Amino acid sequence: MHSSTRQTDTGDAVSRFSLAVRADAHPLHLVSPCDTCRAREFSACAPLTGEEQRRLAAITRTINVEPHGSIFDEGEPAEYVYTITEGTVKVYKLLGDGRRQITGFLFAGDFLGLIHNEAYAYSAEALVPTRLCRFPRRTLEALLVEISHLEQRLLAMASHELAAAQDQMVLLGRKSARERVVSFILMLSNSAVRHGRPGDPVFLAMTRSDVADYLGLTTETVSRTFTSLKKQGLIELLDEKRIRLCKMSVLREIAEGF
Amino acid sequence: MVDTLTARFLDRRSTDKAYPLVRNIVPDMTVARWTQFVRPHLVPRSPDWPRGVMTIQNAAGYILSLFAFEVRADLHESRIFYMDHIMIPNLPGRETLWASTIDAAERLAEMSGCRAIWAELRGGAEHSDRDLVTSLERSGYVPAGVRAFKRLEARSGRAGDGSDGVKRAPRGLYDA
Repeated sequence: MHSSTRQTDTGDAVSRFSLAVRADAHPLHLVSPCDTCRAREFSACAPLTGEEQRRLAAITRTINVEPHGSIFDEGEPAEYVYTITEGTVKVYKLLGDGRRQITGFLFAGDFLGLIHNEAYAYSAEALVPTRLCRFPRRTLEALLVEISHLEQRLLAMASHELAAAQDQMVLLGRKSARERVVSFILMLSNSAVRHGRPGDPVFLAMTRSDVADYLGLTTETVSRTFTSLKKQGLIELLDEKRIRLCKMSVLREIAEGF
Repeated sequence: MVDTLTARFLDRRSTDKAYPLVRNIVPDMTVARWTQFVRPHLVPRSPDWPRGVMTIQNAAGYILSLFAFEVRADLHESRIFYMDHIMIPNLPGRETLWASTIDAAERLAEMSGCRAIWAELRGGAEHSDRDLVTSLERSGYVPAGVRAFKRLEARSGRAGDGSDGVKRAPRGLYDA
């Protein structure tokens, strides 16, 4: 694990320190991180027994990452698996010309780094203050052999970067910018509900630029589409990060291309 | 098979959705190349000689593995079920995925009136690994025959350059 100082443009030592990724060990005699985890109910960890939870907690470190902090970079050895317990993460690949292509957003309850080769095939960065549980991959895989129902649940839920990338491909298949943006908003709403949060208003942890990158649109198009939807009374922009869904049935029709 | 895993044929609408899985196994794959490859597989040569791409999906509809298949005439076996481009990501539970994938192939082969299955393990870029071999052996498969491979030297840009021979200027992940 590395600090996120590489994202700091002009920060001094203090701000760099405050941005650094922290890894807090959880000795067994202290409270298990699972006991206070708000994502547990909606994650693959939900069906674990007390003993299984204790064994998982024993190999877990809690990681706190500040906004724009790197969790791992493309090409790094894929030594760890993460589950997000709070916050939002974007995953992206670097293109040959230096541009980024965002391939997915992951939320509390989702896994990160679960699918791997020798190295991470993409980079992961926190969008908001984010907390993750970090597991050494080999230790986790050995534990999963013994806790087979957790392994089965991981397959059944598929809440990880591959699923996020498949969601993106579905969105990119939408024809117009309007269909893509509305589908994206509804996808965020559905994801929030699935993870035990309110689906309305929708919280946008990502910038308009991130949304544009993800949807294969320009930032101007995304902003114009938001404004257009607002003028039509379909959504209400409560602030920069929150959108109220005013006419759900119409939004669904738009998303489906009607 | 895990209760929540289901075998479904890939169709034109789900071709794009399968792309991230393919890219995970073959990192330099582009959408265009994947689409160009898979489209012909989605059209059977005839009702008697089916071919296609089978996927294993979870309850949420995410594609966790896939393979291409084709029923071929065989001199020794009459009709043989040929499975190729087996793509299963390296994730916890992959043994279950292997088992589900093999199970789907065998059921499809039976339905197609085949007397045998030929599973193609390419290795290299597609990461055929010991899990696959172990799963196949557990299911009664044995190594059979020899398959030889030679990459041809590029001549006039027509062959052996690892692509379809079409020169393109790469722009992003989803084109080229």
